[in-house]
Amino acid sequence: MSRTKSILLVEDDQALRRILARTLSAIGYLVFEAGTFSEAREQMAVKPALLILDITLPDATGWDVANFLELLTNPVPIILISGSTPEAKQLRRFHPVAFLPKPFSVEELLAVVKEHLARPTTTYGI
Amino acid sequence: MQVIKRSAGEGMLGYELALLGIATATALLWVVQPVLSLGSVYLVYLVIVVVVAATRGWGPSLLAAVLAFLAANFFFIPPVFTFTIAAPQDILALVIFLALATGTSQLMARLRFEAEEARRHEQATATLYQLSRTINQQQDLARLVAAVEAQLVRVFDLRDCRVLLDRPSPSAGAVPSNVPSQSAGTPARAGETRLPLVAGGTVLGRLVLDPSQPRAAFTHDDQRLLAAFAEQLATAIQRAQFQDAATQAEVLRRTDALRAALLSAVSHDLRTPLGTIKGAATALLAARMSWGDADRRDFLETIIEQADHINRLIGNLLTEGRIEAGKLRPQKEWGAVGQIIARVVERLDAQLAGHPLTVQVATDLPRVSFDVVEIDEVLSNLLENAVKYTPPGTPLTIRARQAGETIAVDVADAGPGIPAAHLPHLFDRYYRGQTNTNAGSGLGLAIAKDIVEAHGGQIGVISRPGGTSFTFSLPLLPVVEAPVPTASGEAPILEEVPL
Repeated sequence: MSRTKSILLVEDDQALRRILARTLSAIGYLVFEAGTFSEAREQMAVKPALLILDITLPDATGWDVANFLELLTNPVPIILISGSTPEAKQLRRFHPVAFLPKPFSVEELLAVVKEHLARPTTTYGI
Repeated sequence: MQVIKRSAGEGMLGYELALLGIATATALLWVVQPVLSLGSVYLVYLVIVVVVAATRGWGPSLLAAVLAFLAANFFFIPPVFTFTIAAPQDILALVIFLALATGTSQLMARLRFEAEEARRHEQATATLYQLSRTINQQQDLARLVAAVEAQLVRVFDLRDCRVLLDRPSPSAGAVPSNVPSQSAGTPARAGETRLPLVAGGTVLGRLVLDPSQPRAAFTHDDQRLLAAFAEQLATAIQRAQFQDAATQAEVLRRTDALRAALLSAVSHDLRTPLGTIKGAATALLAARMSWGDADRRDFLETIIEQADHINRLIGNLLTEGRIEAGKLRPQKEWGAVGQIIARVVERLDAQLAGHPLTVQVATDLPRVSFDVVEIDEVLSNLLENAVKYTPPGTPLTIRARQAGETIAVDVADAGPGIPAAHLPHLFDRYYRGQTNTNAGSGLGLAIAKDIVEAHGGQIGVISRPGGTSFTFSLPLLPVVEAPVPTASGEAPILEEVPL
């Protein structure tokens, strides 16, 4: 598993984002953080190897972020994190590799991240 | 006004006038007889008969014709003062006169009758139109019934009029009526006219009309008009009842939708801080992580902050429950607004960290009576909203000043502003400005408004692109009503409080 792969973490709750980012960074991942759709767009200059995505954002939805990233680059594995149930239609559209309903433990997240960043990204498609 | 009404006295007057007309004409003709031919006499009588026919109808004109026939024979046809006639041509002339007079009178009377019919028809149509308009102007059942009752009393000069429904409207009684409510089964009073209200084969109730004079019955035309009107009224009542039922169903549907939305919003609002708590706690416990003291402390503080956040959310829900149950009673104590502002700012320190904050409290601000816990909730809700809806790094300002007989507190941000369409509903319960995002339960501002109003104060908002300012006021004297706070009031002396 490469420890230098970058992760884009999109979560509007600042406290949770800080904890997750710090934990992932401590493991060795390069983490780019965004609290809104517009911040996420700015962070896409570096193509992430993995997208950790909250669905509800102040200025758009997590699906908008996924859609935007899809326009820029090849499909990126998505881990959904949310306090609400995601829409089936969007799940079919974006095929997230995992859905972690809040509250979840960092161990669960790390396990999913490790599993999907260890594989080549090209195997994840729609 | 009774639409069509002719008294018995009026009918008798016609015959009297016919008699009087012929008598007068005879007297005048008698005086001028030496210069008149018999033909002129017949003409004068014919004129009288025609006039009576045109004004008084068939009966009086026939009487006039017969009287004229007799008077001509008696006074003017030789031999006079007898009913015998000497010359045969006079007999023929008199018979022709009689035929002409009766024929003319019949023709005139028919014309008059037709004209009267047309007038009656026109009046009836106008009345029906007027009543129909009353029906069509009212959608609400209680208002419709009240308006129709008042209109019928006026149009038909009634002592009383009641619409008795078998199934009263749930909204009946919303409009005060001068008539005590009765069911359709109430027994009829003497002189009352009762018309069934039938629509679609269903009897909906009765229209009860009580004339001013108990003996004055409705004419045939009135009855026909009222029957037509009752039919229209029944249809309108049925329509209003359907409308009522549809409204009730819609209210229930919306209430259910609101409850579902609230539940979804509350569960999201609770899961967000719980997610952070679980994240922080599991990060601390994770076997492979070795955190430094600063990180451990940061994570533990985050847990405490989020627990406080959940507690405030539950507090909001409980306050809302008390508001809905009508149990919001502020436990007021005299205190300084500046102190409560400092307390809330200190408590929300972590949340406010991303925003430069200025607190301005006017010097010599009088103490005011308020419930510390509740006003804390108002300020917390306003500040948390400001943080939630503005980009990180934008400044916030809290200002406390005297405005007239109140203390006004402004919480202003430099965010994007609130779209004008949302402003009128901002303080409505369960209203959420942004429905596609985590915009909260839609309770915070509604609760703030209820609390401020329970203190006798008011709350308002001014928003434009570049900033939003919420202002709430607390009355200096514990009175029920407070003056409206003005965000752009006279500039008070402000003291900058360094944070």
